[in-house]
Amino acid sequence: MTSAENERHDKFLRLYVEHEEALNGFVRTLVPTREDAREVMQEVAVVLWQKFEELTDTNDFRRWAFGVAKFKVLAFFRDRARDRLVFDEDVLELLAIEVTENADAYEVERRALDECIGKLGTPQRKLLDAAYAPGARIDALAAAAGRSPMSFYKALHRIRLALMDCTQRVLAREGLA
Amino acid sequence: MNDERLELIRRHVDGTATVEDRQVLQEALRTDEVFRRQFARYTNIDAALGSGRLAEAPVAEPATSLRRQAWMNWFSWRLLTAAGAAAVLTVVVTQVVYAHFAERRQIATVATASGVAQFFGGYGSLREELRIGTKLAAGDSIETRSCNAIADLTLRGGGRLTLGGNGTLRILEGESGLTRWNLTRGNIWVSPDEQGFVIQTQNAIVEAHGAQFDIQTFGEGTRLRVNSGTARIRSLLDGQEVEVPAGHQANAWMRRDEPLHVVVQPQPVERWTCSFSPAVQPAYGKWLPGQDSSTMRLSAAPLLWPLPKRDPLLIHVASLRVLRDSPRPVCAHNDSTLVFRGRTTRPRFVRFGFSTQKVRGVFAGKFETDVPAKKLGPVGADWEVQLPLSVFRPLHPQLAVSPDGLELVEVYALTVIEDAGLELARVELVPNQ
Repeated sequence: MTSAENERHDKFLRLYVEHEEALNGFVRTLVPTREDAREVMQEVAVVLWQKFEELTDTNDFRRWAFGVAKFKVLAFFRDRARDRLVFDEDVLELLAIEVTENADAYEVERRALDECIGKLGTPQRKLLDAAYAPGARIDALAAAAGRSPMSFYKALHRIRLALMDCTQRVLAREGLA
Repeated sequence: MNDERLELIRRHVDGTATVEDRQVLQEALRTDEVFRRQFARYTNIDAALGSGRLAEAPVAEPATSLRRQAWMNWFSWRLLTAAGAAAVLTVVVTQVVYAHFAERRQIATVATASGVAQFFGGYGSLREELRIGTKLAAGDSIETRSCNAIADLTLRGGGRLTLGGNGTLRILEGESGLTRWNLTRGNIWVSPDEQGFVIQTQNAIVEAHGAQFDIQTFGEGTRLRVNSGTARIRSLLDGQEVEVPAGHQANAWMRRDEPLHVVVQPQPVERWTCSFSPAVQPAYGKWLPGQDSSTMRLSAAPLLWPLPKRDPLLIHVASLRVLRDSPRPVCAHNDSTLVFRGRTTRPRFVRFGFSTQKVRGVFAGKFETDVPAKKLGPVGADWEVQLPLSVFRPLHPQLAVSPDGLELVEVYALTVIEDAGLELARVELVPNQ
């Protein structure tokens, strides 16, 4: 790569890393599973880099990236046109607007999440770590713990709800809610 | 928000929703703005938990868990406050003293750090996660603890140094115009630096001024490749020293029957068949005799895969070093195919992958693909899988989105958590005919 290309790549890398989590949240809201989200994210990263030259204002990177991601999600669903477990385009559009327009709020909530995860008890934390480990399968984890998959899912659900409540309390305390 | 609706979101996020669930959910999302926000908050939390936020978050002390917090009494609160204040004071004093010390003789700054990487400051007195912006001075070490980790440093003299995965690098000295480093293990890539540069490995010393070069260390020795400028390498085994000009390389092996000599960097090849020779140390795994005396198999060995601030993950890995096995760089193309022959003694999916570097460049990421057990064939029987490189997904798309034109560093197969008795008998890269 020439030095100009290196510089462009460094700039892209900085912006991508800065906004990767927001982008991941955006994609995750639109697709049904984490595996799908991961697949779409890989495609999105490729297209963002390919089209990076078209971005005129780097301050607008997040919004621009969300727009690219939305099209990749739509393309992903078009490839799976027979899958009746995906949302209609108008619903995807509504969700995309929700996340794009409130991206700062979701960002703040993610930051508050660190504090809330830190307050989880050891069993809850271990359960989360296991469930979100790469390649984790809930049925295998549940079997190993001597529980039914449903009870495992429900325990996870309760932890997520507790974390959502906690993040709201943190934001309220800091006057951000 | 009623529990039934939240449960609906839960089923969607966990992938257990039915078609009917999805219809109800979709209608609610279409018509109810508050529900839409709740849905997005839930998926936002799920995405954050799944994308490394857990690894970053602190682990709770038992007394600060959500459940116990409400019951904390005044006394324990005061005690905790006092202990916290003392801890904060200690950290602040350490950091102020250390920052002052480090500022005085800073040699490099961390520009990029990814994967599991640690910083050991002030001759080991300080140990923390390696972060962008960390200033390094004499006595400091950095360690990349997984093969996909990298640490990219900006050097005082304007150059750059990248430490690849599973590497340990220490600054020995930097007071004069010359900086001395110790590469205990792993690979480094160095861009021209105004300062003189001396790097000691387990069996060689490399010295360079304004050169662009990379150093690979193996169990068997050290390889220096110079891409611009010149560098010198001296074998610690016998004191022999050679100058390596641009476009050349030298191998310093820890065997007296393989003398230090300079050769032109070989041109990359597009076809490679692993020698499966026990004379070449595998990156990971154990050599076993094959069905006849002329063949060997590489058996997967257990490995605890480090994860930041979490329990490590148990995997069983058989991994081959292409850089050491092949006398020439092996270049990947999207239309090439990796062929694996092997067997498993239990029906588990196998993850196949390879790591890459840019030709004469830095770590360029890993690529992986999973093959389900049923596609491998009967348990206990030999199987062969042919995987076009285009089916491998990039694990670091920000580094490289496809392996096209990259050099293979390692090729591996692994099973997650459970031991499936994985063995590899043949691995080859076949270009498109």
